[in-house]
Amino acid sequence: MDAHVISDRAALVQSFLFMEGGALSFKRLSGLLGCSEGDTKLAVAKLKSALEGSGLTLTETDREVALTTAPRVSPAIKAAYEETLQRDIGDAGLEVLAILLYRGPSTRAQIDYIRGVHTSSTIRLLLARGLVERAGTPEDSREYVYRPTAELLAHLGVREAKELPEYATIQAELATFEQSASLSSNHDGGNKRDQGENPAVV
Amino acid sequence: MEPSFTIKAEQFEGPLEALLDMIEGRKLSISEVSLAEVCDAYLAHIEKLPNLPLGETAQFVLVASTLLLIKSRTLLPTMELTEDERESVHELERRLARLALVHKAAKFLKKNWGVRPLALPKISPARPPVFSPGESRVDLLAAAVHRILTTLPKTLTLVEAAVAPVLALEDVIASVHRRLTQAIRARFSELTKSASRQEIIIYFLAMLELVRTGSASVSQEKLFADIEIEIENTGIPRYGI
Repeated sequence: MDAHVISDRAALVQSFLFMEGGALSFKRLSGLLGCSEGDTKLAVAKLKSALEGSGLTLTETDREVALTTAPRVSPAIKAAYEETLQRDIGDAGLEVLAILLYRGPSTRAQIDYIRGVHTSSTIRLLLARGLVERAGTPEDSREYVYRPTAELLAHLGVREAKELPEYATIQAELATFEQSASLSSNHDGGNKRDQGENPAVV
Repeated sequence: MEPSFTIKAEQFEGPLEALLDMIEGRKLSISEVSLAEVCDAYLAHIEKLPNLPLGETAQFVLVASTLLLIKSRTLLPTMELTEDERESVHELERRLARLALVHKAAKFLKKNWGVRPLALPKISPARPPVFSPGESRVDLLAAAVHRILTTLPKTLTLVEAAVAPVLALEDVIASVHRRLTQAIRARFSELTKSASRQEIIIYFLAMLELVRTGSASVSQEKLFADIEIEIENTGIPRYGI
């Protein structure tokens, strides 16, 4: 890939993100650039390194990217905009966010099962605050999968989920549970009583 | 330690959380032994539960049944668990351990919550257009400015003409009268042969004055023809024209 082309696209990414003001999905961005999502990610990476040392940075999830202020200026930003950034979401909200950030995109049933309690009202609150978004799942059209937004990462002061404290360890440990759970059952729904009569696993 | 149960405005503590609180409150790790130990406290906790929706209550009871299973096994070491029972014990342990991990992660989030935020741009609302032209380009704008410039009122400098003294009307009257006395008649064009425009006007006025006083009479063949001017009362007999 020509370095020129990537630089030009990086400039376009910056302009589109500036224009948009909020997060743009990689899908939408690649549509605007007229190139593949892979090439779009190259351009985003290029822009991110070009912004190094400036007052701005890129904050991204797997799905979307946003132009945000850089970590180095956040104390000043926080002082200037203290009130508008004030959004308390409670421990329940934090737990749901922890699941989505450290475990990854999850359905409501999965979140409920992990927490052992109904979570719909908490999820609604998080959706309303723009901290999570939901999308349909390819496997089941009746179920939504919830995932973190770029705004959430920005609020936590990280540019990627990977920058969260102990991300690697906690994520690995959670993944281990998923594995051991799927070894013992094919269903994360809690009720194992009728497994014997349900020879779904071939 | 008193098992505490709190009803929050939106979110109540579920069975797993209550159980985890009890284990962690006793500084125990998650194991069959610790689960057996908190079994009584958990059952006491269920007793005190307020009226919850049936589904929630069922969750509490389901966990309680697993705890009772664990406890009975510690009391009766010879008791054999079925495959399903063993699995539900393991599943409960696994869920508790996972929830503990989620709690830990949530604590990290809480610590970082809005402490060093990266701000997204504040979207400034578009200015409501007072008027939006169909097409606005710099060259079109420049052309429009030029058009406006040409229609702007100009400061006009009044034409200043130095008014030259021309002729005094009285003098002209006298001179015309004199000429007529000598020549009896004259054509207006002859009188004003070498006169300027202003002088012609004065000659005309002089002629009119002479006519008015009866010193002269004028005749004109047709419109715009030369005017013939003739002295009156010269005392000279007239023999026809």
